[in-house]
Amino acid sequence: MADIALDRSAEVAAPPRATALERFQHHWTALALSFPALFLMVLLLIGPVVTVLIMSFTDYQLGASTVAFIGLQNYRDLFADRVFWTSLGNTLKYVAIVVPASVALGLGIALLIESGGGLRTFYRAVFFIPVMATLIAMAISWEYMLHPQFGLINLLLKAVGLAPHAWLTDPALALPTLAAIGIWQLFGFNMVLFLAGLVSIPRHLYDAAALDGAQSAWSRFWLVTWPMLGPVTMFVVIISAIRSFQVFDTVHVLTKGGPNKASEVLLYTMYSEGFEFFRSGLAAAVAVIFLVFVLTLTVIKARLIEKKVHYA
Amino acid sequence: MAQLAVRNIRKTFDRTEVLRGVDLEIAHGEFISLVGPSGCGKSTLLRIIAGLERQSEGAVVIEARDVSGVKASRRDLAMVFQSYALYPHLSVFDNIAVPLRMRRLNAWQRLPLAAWVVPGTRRIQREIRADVERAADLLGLTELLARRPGQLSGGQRQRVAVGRAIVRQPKAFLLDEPLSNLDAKLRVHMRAEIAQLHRRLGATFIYVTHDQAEAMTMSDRIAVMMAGNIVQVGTPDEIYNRPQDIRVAEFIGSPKINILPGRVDADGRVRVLGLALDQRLDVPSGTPIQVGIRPEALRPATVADGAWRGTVSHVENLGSEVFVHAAVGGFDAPVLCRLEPGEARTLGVGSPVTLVPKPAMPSFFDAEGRRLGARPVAYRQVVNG
Repeated sequence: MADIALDRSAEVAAPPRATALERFQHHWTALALSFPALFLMVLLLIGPVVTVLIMSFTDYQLGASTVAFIGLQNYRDLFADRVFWTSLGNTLKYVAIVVPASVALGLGIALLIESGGGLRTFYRAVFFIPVMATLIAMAISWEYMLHPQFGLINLLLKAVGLAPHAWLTDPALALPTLAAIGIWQLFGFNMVLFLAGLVSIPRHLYDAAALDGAQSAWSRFWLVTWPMLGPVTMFVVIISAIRSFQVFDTVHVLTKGGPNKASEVLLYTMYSEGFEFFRSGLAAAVAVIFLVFVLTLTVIKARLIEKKVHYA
Repeated sequence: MAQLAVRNIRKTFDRTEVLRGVDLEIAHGEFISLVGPSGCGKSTLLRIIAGLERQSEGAVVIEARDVSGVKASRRDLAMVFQSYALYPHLSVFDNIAVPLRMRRLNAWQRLPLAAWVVPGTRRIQREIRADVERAADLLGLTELLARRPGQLSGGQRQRVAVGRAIVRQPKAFLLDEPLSNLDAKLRVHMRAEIAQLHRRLGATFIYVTHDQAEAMTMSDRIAVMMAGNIVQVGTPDEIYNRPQDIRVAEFIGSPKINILPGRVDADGRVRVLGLALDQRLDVPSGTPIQVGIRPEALRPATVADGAWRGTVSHVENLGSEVFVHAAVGGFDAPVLCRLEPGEARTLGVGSPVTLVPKPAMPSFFDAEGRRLGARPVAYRQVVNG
């Protein structure tokens, strides 16, 4: 008797079992609802990536009527090519200059703006303008400013008695100059992210730091600000790295990879292989290598941000 | 001599006056509570003492030295915050070690790997380790030293915050509602622990709370704040039994004191809701006054004559005591009476009840709420003299 009563109460407590039909309908509805997004993702993102990957194993040339699979030949050619290694080296150098500088500058200016009183919005807007500007147009402006004879920068240098430089045609200066433009373009974005991060640091941690005897701004920064900005900094570094890896516009407008490949970078190599020499298969191989770098950064970001730098 | 004093402190935020000239003297080793309803300025006063907020006027004096212009980091005070304010990226050990590292190590010695480079660093680090372990041991945190604050319960975090404060010997401890984020049971437990800690350390504690029970149970003295002023400073006993202001009487004590309208007779005796009390006031007859009678100062009368007659409107049985709400003729609000369970056995909602004040002295206030001094009637007459 008691058993029966128990069984009944269990039946009432358990949620009603879904029938096979109901489950099918449920899944079907879910699928149908996600179809538009899935379709667009395959068409616009996954499809092209897979196509490029396949293309990198072929000898396809833009406009050619026949295509043949050649396995890893494109990669072998690339790794044997001195230009590719120069290009990869230059890209890494560019990233190595732009990332630390734009992150440090972004953080420094965010700290100054946050600690200052008035004109906050003004400064924020001013430093953010380069981010909003069209980079191609800005690159053209830079071209005139950097012109060896009548460029503003050399005129200024001469005015204060310093030697002018051939910024874009000197092999030693071309890449650093491009990097400087890259920093100018990127730090405003980092600044905005840091500002958001700074605002979210609880005030009471600074109160605690003061009571704990942190006298200087320097010690407060290392005790509270820097560690609390950890997640933001990680994000900013990765995003800056990805964006620096993508450097192309300024190279295309200002140096075309020159002089003598001094500013050749990965995306520019891909562009010239694919659209100047029409070796699409080889260009696809460069694109795949580029993708590997960006994906690696993305994975690092996902792992680190989710696991290491989150406290609470 | 006072170890810590605030003199005529005023604080204005955007033309709103939060503190209106606060004076307070705190003796060495004293446990003093600043208590008051939210918005009375008690936390602001504590932050001004700590140096986290700058007063608009007045002075903070610590050990005979005016510290008004001295930064928080140089006042040598320790504070426990309501939110605990633990560094989330540091382990419990490191959290407790921060105040020692900041004071004993210079900027170079605090750098990573300094122990290998800067002479003397290792010795200081060893001392810091010993001190942190001692504080952790005192608070039962030894097992938790390697954890991060995020992995701790509210009570454990609270302990870490206390540990960070007691690891060095500051001139005074400032506690800003440290128990308000804990559940009721833990709060009662921590109350006892903090009081014990105070006895053991013998240091000055300034404790801000809105909870009158915390203030009553832990303090040597209580400063009751209302609307930016300290209304009364005294021992818990004085505050409870001789409130100088009707707001103090109403704020301190749970359940709340009964405030009944009264009048002074021609012979100076106080008459409340038709009943003459055993006290005289030196005020003109006919003056309206307010009479505060604590719920435990009422008892059921054996004879209906000379007592307030009413009906029970609500009964709260807490097991160890019973609160009886009675509607008394001629008064809108229910009169609250605290009884022993035995006394209340026969009382149910709707049953008639007769109440008389116990001989304990009620508090009398004038129309503005200031305390009036009373004296007992010369020869004792129990009822209507």
